[in-house]
Amino acid sequence: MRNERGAFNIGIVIGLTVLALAMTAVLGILMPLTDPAVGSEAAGQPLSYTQEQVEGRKIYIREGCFTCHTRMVRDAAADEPYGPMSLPADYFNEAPALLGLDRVGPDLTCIGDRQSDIDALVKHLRNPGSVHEGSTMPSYAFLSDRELRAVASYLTALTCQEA
Amino acid sequence: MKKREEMKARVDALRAKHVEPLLARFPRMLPTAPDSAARYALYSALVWFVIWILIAATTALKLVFPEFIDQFGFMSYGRMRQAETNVLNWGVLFMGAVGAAFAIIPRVCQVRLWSERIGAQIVIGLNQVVLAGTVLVFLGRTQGISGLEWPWPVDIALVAIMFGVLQVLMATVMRRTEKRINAPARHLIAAFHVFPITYAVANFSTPFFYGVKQTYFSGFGAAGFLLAMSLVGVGSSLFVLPRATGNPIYSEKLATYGWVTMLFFLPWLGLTARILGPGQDWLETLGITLALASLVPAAFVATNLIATARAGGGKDPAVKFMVGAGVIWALALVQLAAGSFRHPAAIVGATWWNESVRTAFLGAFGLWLVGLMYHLIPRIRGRALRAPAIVNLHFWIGTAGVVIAWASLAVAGVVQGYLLRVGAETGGEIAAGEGWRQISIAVQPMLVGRMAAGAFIFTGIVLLLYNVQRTLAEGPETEPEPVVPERAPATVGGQS
Repeated sequence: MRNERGAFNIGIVIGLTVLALAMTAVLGILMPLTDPAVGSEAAGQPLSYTQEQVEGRKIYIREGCFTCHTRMVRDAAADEPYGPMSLPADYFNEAPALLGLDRVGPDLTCIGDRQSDIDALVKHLRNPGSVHEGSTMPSYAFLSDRELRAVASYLTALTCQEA
Repeated sequence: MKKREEMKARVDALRAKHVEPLLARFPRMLPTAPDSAARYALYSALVWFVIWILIAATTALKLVFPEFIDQFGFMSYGRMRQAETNVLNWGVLFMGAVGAAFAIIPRVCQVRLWSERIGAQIVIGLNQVVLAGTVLVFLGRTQGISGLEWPWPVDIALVAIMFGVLQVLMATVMRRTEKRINAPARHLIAAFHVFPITYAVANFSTPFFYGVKQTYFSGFGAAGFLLAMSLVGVGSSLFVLPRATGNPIYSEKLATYGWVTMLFFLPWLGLTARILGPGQDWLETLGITLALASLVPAAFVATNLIATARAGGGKDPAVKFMVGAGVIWALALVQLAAGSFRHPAAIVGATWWNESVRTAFLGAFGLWLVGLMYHLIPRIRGRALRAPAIVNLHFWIGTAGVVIAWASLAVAGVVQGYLLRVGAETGGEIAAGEGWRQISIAVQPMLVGRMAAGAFIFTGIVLLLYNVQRTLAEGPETEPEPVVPERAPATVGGQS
């Protein structure tokens, strides 16, 4: 197996690298982008927010809530309690989309259907341990009352049921 | 001809008047000695390693004790988690990769680095970028996209730094006296093309694409980082192992096949991040297929590294790190492929399992970097390692830390996934609220295990820091390893 071959031209090294990335970009980005399944015409229910909820969403992003909570109900039995499976159009006007990767805490796609009481949500955000003893969620008591209400209001807007 | 000489004399006079005093005033900012830029990058990576482990330890503690330092907004779990990921990715791993490339490319090309001064300036700039990005994330300035958290001004600066590194490396390669582009050079050149292209495409698309469309780009960026760091790790191993063992690479063919298959299979791994999530089925199937295909480079690379290490002698402590990291990297690809199939993904998808895979990859990259530091720093500083026995201890402690964290999180992912599924099937209130607390309690021992693993890794980094500091301060003096052996020209364009 040992030999001294493998002498590559620098152009081949760069060319193969760029070719590999270009193939991925075309098949893995450009083709899905042009797929109607992810466009505005896809079935789903884009969310709309009030000014306070937009403010709450900004705080949700600022505090990195997406690092612990997904907003993505998958096509899996384990996800059924979270609500109907998420569709591309559900995120159509979302930038960033906040799908998340891992669940350190529960999924929040339809949290507004499970909990619509803003005061209860504020209480939970301020001291999660007081609502669920032994909760591993950190306290957000350092946020002002206005900020806490904004986040809670944003969470109540995350619904999956038809209006 | 006369005019040209006059012009040259004028330039020399201007240089003597304006440039040389500046260089004399800031010798450390604008160094010319061989390996200066590489040293700057490797030392910087070491400092960021310490900063990273402090942030990571605090984050892990907060997960087990949520009330730990919960009064300050800038130290909230969400912000610290983002800072931790980015300090590790860019401050430690990318910085270390730059140091590796600045040291290895000149040696395998038999020519001095194109410009130590520009290289050093790039490293200084990279430190500022990492610092700025970290401070901004602590202040709550984030793009809100996993893996692409840094705000756009930092992204632009980072891409400029990446292209700067590429410029220095390519100018060095173009001036090479060794015509053959060998395996380590191939891997590193490819890596430093992948870094800027994938990071720029992923980040600069974010203002233009919303919703699920954004995830195609972020997945491309994440897979690009994984590919580039894999190329750096494997390339560094193929450089270190033959030097450390005194034998050539076991198989040049395997090295070539491993390189090509990595290039063509690994960029797709971002598609596996959201299996069963919103998106097209055909795209998921493509991602799963390519994840399975990535076992091919895993087998090629692991076989080649193990066989090269076994064939040779030598007592270089870096060998263990390089081979151990290669094996962990290959097993992480196996774990990623196994978890990407739809049936297992229905259980372990979007759970701690994902974090386990990331831990394995990042642990492998970290071990590669540490091995490289133990190999390179004594050689480029001209001092023998002060405490070689500690390196062996560091290897076992560091590897144990990575493996314990990796295994703990994998188990936590399976437990979390099964509890969710059982809850869903029995109609139990497990998905949120009190039910979720039961899941938290069930995975708590594994998170404590992860925290203990962090203590192992922390101890390893302290040992590394101690050993490097003692080596530089009082290690037995040796001849610094020349970048270019005597027979080759010692000064090449761009150097003064």
